[in-house]
Amino acid sequence: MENTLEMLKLADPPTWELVRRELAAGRSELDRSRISLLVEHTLWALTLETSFGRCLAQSLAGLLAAGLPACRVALFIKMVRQAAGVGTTLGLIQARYLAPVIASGNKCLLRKYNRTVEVLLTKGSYTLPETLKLGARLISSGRLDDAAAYFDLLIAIFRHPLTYNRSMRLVYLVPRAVASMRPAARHFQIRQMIRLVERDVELVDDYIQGLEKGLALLDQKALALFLDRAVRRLERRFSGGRRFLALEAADARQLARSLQTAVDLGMVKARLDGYLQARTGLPLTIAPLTGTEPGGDEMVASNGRQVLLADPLDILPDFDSNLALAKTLVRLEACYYEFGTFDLDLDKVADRHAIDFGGQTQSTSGQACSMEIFCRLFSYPDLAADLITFFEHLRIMRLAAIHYPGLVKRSRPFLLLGAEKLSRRRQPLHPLWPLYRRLVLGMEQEEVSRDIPAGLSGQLEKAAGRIAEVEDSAAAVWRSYRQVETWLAGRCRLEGGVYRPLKFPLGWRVDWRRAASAWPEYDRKAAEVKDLLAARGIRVYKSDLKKLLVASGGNPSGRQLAELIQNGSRNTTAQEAGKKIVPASAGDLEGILAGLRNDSSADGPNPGGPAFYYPEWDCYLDDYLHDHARVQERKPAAPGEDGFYDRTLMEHGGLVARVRAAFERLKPEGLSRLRPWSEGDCLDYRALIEYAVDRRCRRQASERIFIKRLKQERDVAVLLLVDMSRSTANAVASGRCSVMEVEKQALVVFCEALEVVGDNYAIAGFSGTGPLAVDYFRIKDFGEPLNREVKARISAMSPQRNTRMGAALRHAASLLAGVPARVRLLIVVGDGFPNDQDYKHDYAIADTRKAVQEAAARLIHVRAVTVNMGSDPRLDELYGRQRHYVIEDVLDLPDKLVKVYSTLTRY
Amino acid sequence: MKTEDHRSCDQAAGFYLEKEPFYLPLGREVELFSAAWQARLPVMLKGPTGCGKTRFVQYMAWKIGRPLITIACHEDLFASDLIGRFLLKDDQTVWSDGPLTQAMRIGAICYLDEIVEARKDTTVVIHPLTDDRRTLNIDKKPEVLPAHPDFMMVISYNPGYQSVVKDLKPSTRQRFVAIDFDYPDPEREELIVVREGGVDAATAGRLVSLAAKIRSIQQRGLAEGASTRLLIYAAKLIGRGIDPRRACRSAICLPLSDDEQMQETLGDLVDDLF
Ligand SMILES: Nc1ncnc2c1ncn2[C@@H]1O[C@H](COP(=O)(O)OP(=O)(O)OP(=O)(O)O)[C@@H](O)[C@H]1O
Ligand SMILES: [Mg+2]
Repeated sequence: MENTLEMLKLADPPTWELVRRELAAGRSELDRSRISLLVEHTLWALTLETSFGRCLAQSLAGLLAAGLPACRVALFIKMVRQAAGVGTTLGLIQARYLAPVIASGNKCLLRKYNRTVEVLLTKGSYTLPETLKLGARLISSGRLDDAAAYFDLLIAIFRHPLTYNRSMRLVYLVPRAVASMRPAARHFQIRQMIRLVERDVELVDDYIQGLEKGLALLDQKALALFLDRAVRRLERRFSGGRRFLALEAADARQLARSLQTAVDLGMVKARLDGYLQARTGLPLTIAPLTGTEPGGDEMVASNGRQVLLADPLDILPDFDSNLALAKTLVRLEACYYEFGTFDLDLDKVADRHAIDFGGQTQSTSGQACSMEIFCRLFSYPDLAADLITFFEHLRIMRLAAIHYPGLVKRSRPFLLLGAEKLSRRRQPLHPLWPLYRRLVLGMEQEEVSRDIPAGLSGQLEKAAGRIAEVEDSAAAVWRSYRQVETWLAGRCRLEGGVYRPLKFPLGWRVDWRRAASAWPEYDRKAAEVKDLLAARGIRVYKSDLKKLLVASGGNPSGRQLAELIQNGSRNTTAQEAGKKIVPASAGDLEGILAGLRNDSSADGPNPGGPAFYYPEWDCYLDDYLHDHARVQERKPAAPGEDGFYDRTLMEHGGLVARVRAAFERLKPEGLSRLRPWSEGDCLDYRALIEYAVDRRCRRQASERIFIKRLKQERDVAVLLLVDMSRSTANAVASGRCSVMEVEKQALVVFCEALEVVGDNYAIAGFSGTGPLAVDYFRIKDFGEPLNREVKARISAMSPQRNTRMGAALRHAASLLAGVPARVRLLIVVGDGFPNDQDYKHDYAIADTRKAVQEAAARLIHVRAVTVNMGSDPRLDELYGRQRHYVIEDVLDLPDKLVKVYSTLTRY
Repeated sequence: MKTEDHRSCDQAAGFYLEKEPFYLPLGREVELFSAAWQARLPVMLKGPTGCGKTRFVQYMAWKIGRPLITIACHEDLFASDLIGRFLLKDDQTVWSDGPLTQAMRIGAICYLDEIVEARKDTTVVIHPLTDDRRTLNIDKKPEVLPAHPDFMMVISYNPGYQSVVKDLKPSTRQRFVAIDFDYPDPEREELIVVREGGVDAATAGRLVSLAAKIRSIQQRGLAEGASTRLLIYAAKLIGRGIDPRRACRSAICLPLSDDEQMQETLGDLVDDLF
C-alpha cells in the first residue's frame, strides 16, 4: 500500500500541518516515492513518541523539499534511527540538529559533528541540546567554518574529565560566548579558545571573561600576540596567568588596550552622543549600523533620529585613527541634520522652482518621508538618490567651509583616503565619479573626464552653482535626471534595468531608504494637518509641521500652530500675495489638533499610596519615558531587639575610636580668631598694651592690635544611598559574612563619624522589582537624631530584590536638593551595576548615567563606592572618572567609606 | 554739615566713570533701569555669570552721571565691612566709612555683586536702605544716616547657583525691581566679542556658535553654559596669536567642566570650528 499525506493527517493532524508548511516553503514538488518515504518514517517515529515524530517529520520534509540527493536522505534516516534505538530523546536531538549538517553536504563537518555528539554523550545527553543548537544555527546561516571550529572546540572541552556541575556550567557558558562573538572575529576567537583549552579547561572561563572585558575587540594578530603573552604568564605562575587572561591584572588591561585597534561603539557612544546633540541641537544618538552588505564599505548612515555607525569600526591600522575616523563620520553625517537635508519639502521645491510634480507627490504622501517620495518619482530611485547626494555634498561642503573650517580640514584626509580606495577598484568607475572628485572633493583632475560629455558636465556644474537649500538640490536633480539617465544608459550602467549606484567615499551618502523610517507617525500626522488646513484655505509646509511635531513630542499647541501659520513663508509667496489669508483662531486650530490626539492612550488609574514618579532614560528610544518609574518610600520594619548596631560598635571598637578621633580633627572649631590682626571687630588688649608701650619708648609699633572673628562652618549635607539588592546577600571573599553585613557595619562607623563632625546626613536603601515597584527605604532622614529607632532600622536592613538605580538616584537627589547646605553630596554604596526587569546592561547604565547628570545639574555631587568587584571601565562611564571608588576588599569598606568622605569634604 | 559735603565731593571724584563703557543694549533694560533710577527704586539684576550685568551697571552709572561703588560680596563680608569701623590713628580712634556708607553720603550707585554670597546678617543691613526709609543704621557710632537723594542700590544675583541656603530671603528679594539678563542673542554677542575681544567677525561668529552649542547641552552636566566673558577671553587669546583651538580649550572648555568625557565633547565641537 502506498503512503500518502492523508494518512499523516489521520494519524496526527499537527504533524500533517507541519509537513504541509515545510513542503510549501520548499523548492520542488515531491514525487510519490519521496512522500511515501516521508510518511513511512514519520509514522514510525510517531508511534515511539509524538514529539519525536513531529520533529523528524519536519526535518525530513525540509530535507526532501530542499531536493537533497536520496543517499544523503538515507544517511540521515539511518543515523536518526540508530539514535532512536538508544532512546527517543537522543533520536529527537539527532532529528533536529543533524538535519542542517546533512543539508550542508559537507563531509568534514559531518565527521566533526559526529565526533562532537560522541564526546558529549560521555558526559550525558543533557549536554547535547544547548550546545548543538548553536552549531545548527551557524550552519543554517552559512557559516560552515565557524561551525566546524565550534565543533572542534566542544570536542576539545568535553574530552576532558569534568564534574557534573562543571560540564553543566560549560554547556551554558560556551555556546553563549560563541554566539555573542562578532561574526568577523568568531573563527579566530574560537581557534584561540581551543588553544587554551588544550592547556587547561579551567582557562575557558578566564578567556570568556577576558573577551567580554575587551579582548573581543582585538583583531586576529593582536589576539594571538596577547595570548602568547598570557601563555608565558601561565607557565610562570598559573594563577597569575589566569588573572592576566581574564584581564583582571592591570598590565593585561593595558596591553589589551594598546593592542586594540577597533573602536567599539559602546565605548565611545556617550561621547559621540554628546557631540551630536550639541552640534545639531536635536535629540540624536548613535546606534550600531546593521543590515549592511558584507564587504561593503558602508560605515555610516542615518535614519532621521539616529546616526548609525559601523560597530566595531576597524578600518585603519591603529585605534586613534579609527577613533578619528568614527568622529569624522559622525561629523559629516551631522551635516545632513544641521543643514536640513532631511527637512526636504516637495511643496517648497514646487513653489520655489515652479516645478509641477503632477500630483505624484500627493498620492503616496501617506506616511512616507519626502526624501523617499522624491526618489520614487524617478524610474531609478537609486540614481536620483545618487544625484541628490552629489548636490547635497556640494552644498554641505560649501556651507561647512564657511561655518566649520575645522571640520572640512579634518575630514578631508579621510574623504581623500576613501576616494583613493574607490579609485583603486577594478570595477568600471561610475561616470559621475570624476565630477564628484573634482567638485565635491576639490581633487585635481588627472585626466579630463573622458567619459562625461562636456555639455552635461557643464550643466551639472551650473545647477550646482545655485544651490543654497536642500530644495535647490532636489530641483537640480529634477532638471538633470533625464539627461543623466540617458547618458548612463549609453554607458552600460543600467544593464538589464538595474542601476549600479555610485560608491561614495567612506560610504557617506543620503540614505533615502533608512531616512524613510525616521518619523512615520509624524509624517502621517503632518500630512493630515496640512490637508485639514488646506481645506480651510490655509497653506503650510509639511516639513514645517513635521518639525513642530518633532519638537513638541507630537503634541503641539494651537498657539504654536497659529505661530507657524503666521510665520510660514508659504502664505507670503508671490502667488499668494494677492489673496487674503483667512486668519484661524487658536481655538479653531486646537480643534484640528484635538482630532489627532485621541489616539494617544489614556493613563490607567494609579494604585493608591504615597509614591513618586520619575522619568527614565530609554537609550534605545533616545528619550525619556515619562513617569516611568514609581518609587515607594518605606521604612524597614524594625524588629525590637536585633542589636546589630551595638554589636558592631563593640566588635569594631578600635576602628570606631580611630575614626572618631580622625573626624574630631575634621571638625571646625566654630569661631576661629585671627590675632593679632591689622583690623578686626574688637581690640586685642594684650597687643594694645604692647603697642602703647612701644610708642612710649618711641619704638616701631606694630599696628596689629585687633582680633578678627571668623565663623567657620562646615556646610555639608550628605545622603548615603545603599544598594540593598539580592546580590548583597553574597558572601564576601573570606566567606565570613555577607556584603550586606559589611555595608551595615560601614553604616555604623559612618554614623559614628558624622555624629562627631556634625554634618547633616541621611541614609537610605533601595531595591525593588520592576519600574512600578522601586523601594526606597528611609533609614535615617536629614536632621533626624541618631536614636534607637534609627539604629534599629540599620540593624534591620536586609538584602531585598533588584537595583533600578536611576529611579532611586532621582528620588534621593530630589530629597537632597531640598536640604539647605552649600555642599550636597550623594554617595552610592553598592556591589555592582544596576539590574532590574527590563533594566540591564547598556540600558541600565545609560539611565543611571543620566540620573547622575541630572543630579549634577542640580549641583549635587554624586560619588560611588563599589565593593566586591574589580574595577571596570564602565564605572567611569556611569559616574565619571575620579567620581567613584572601587574597594577591592569589602572588609575595608567601613574604614574606606569614612576616608572617602573625609577627603571629599575637607575644608 | 558743610564740611562733610565738601569732603564727600572729593571722595566721590574717584568713583565717576570717565569714559563711556561699551555696552550693547540687549532689550529694554536701559529704559527700565532709567525709570527705576528716576523713582529711586533699588534694582536687582538676575542672570547667569558673565552675561554683562556688571558692565551694564557701569554703563548706567556713566549714563546717569553718578559715581559707582562696587562691592564684591563673599562669605566673610561683615556688616562692618559695608558700614565702616573705628580705626586707631595716632592716639585716637577714628571712624572710617565703609563703602556702603560712603556711597550713601556721596549719592553713588552702590552695586553689591553676587549678593547671595554675603552672610545672612550682612544682607539684613540693607533692608532699611532699600525700602522707603532709605536710611542706614550705624550702630557703632551711633548714627542713623539718611541716603543722599541720588543714592541708588543695585544688586546682582545668579539664580543658576541657587542653593536653598544661599537663596535670598523673600523679604530681601521683595525690596527690588528685578531685571532679567541672559546671554545676548548671536548677532549681538558676535558684535560684543568683536568689540571686546578684538577679533574679526568670522572668528567671533564661530566662538558664538560654539557657545550656543555648549549652552544647549548644559543639562548634560555643566553647572553653567559658556558665558560671554569666556568667549571674550578666548577671543583675546586668539588676538594675541594663540592657536584658536588651544585658546578655546584654555578659555572655554577647561573652565567649564572637570569631566573628561565632557571635555572631549567640547574639544570635538571646537575642532569643527578651527
Ligand atoms: N551687552 C553687552 N555689552 C557689552 N559687553 C558685554 C555685554 N554683555 C556681556 N558683555 C561682556 O561680557 C563680559 C562679562 O560681563 P560682566 O562682567 O558684566 O558679567 P556679569 O554678568 O557681571 O558676570 P558675573 O555674574 O560673573 O559677575 C564683559 O567683559 C563684557 O565685555
Ligand atoms: Mg559681575
